[in-house]
Amino acid sequence: MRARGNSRTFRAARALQGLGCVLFVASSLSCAEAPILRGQIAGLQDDVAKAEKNGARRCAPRELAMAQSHLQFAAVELDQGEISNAKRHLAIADQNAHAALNESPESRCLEHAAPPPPPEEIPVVEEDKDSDGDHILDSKDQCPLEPEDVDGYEDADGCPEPDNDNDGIPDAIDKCPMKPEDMDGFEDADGCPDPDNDKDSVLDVDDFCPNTPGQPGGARPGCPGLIVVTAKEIRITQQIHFEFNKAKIRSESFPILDAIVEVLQSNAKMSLEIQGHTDNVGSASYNKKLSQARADSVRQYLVGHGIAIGRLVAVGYGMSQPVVPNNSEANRALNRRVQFIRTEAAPP
Amino acid sequence: MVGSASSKVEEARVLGAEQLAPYEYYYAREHLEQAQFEAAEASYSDAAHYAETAEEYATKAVEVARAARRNAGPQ
Repeated sequence: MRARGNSRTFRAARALQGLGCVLFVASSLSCAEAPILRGQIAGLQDDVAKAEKNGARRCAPRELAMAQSHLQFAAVELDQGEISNAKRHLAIADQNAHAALNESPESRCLEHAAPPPPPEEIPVVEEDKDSDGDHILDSKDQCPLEPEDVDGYEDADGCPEPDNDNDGIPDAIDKCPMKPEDMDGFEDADGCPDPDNDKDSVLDVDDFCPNTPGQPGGARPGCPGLIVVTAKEIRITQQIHFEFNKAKIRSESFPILDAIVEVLQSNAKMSLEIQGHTDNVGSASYNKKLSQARADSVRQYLVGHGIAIGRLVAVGYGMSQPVVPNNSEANRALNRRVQFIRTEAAPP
Repeated sequence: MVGSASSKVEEARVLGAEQLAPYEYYYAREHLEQAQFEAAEASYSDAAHYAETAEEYATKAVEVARAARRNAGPQ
């Protein structure tokens, strides 16, 4: 038998009850009744426990629920000194406890016994109607009080699905309500999945650089290679690094230059202008001289790796051709660069 | 709290829980009635407690009734 209740309230009431009996003489009859009622409650609790043990949840569920509920209410009312209320609940509990016990003989209701026959069909409560007005009758409506949203997705069950694809974006603002958003930090608000964010044909799941277009294959699929050959230039994805204030190429830049060598070797007609550029720190003449020395150094590397010197021109432009304003360190870094401009198609 | 429990019990009733989940339904219904009684008597703490139990069992009744309907298939 469950004995649920607001235990704090009940304990306080119980404590006051004894005091109330002393102070309120007129209630002496009620106080005398209390032990009797408690005894009756205890006896009925035993009956209900036995009925439940016999399988009353299966054979007499309504009676069991009524008996348990009203026994609980009776006990609480008694604790609070509400004798008449306690009696009222006790009467209901008594009737239902005995019914539950009578209708739950152990031989018929225990779990190993045959179950009571199920209802012939799903009951139609009252006259079959459409409480939520979604044109699905209540008898067939899983959510009879919530109208179906009729959006082509599970519309027969009668329950609305405000987010069909369960991606956390309500259908009302989901551009792809049937396809879950992939939530990878790239255009996640629209509700549409983006399996290849950078559209480089390498799917994000395989793409080491999912937001930067790159090339398939290699050690890092989906990431840009060291160089990209375009119609106008061989674009390098990392800058050539030199020793500070010198024209000596740092070794970490050799792989980039080796890639350029490969391109030139496989494209015999290709010729390049190797351009050296600087930022605006220092004098124009110094920067022009440094950029020329660095362009020469790069040309020398390529020649040293088998490229004919006649295919290569080295020009130092100094600070004269910035790509961005020299107004921050980040911008100045962008302006310090080497470019490889194709010249084989240039007019004479 | 009582209003929410009342809605849930009504939902269970409309779903046919009286027959499909009778124990849960009647346990919920009796507790709802007691909650309403206590609320009328201004015993709000007790009312809230009974309403909480009513909603808990009504929710169970709704789940059982829905499952029974699903298992029964279209009629």
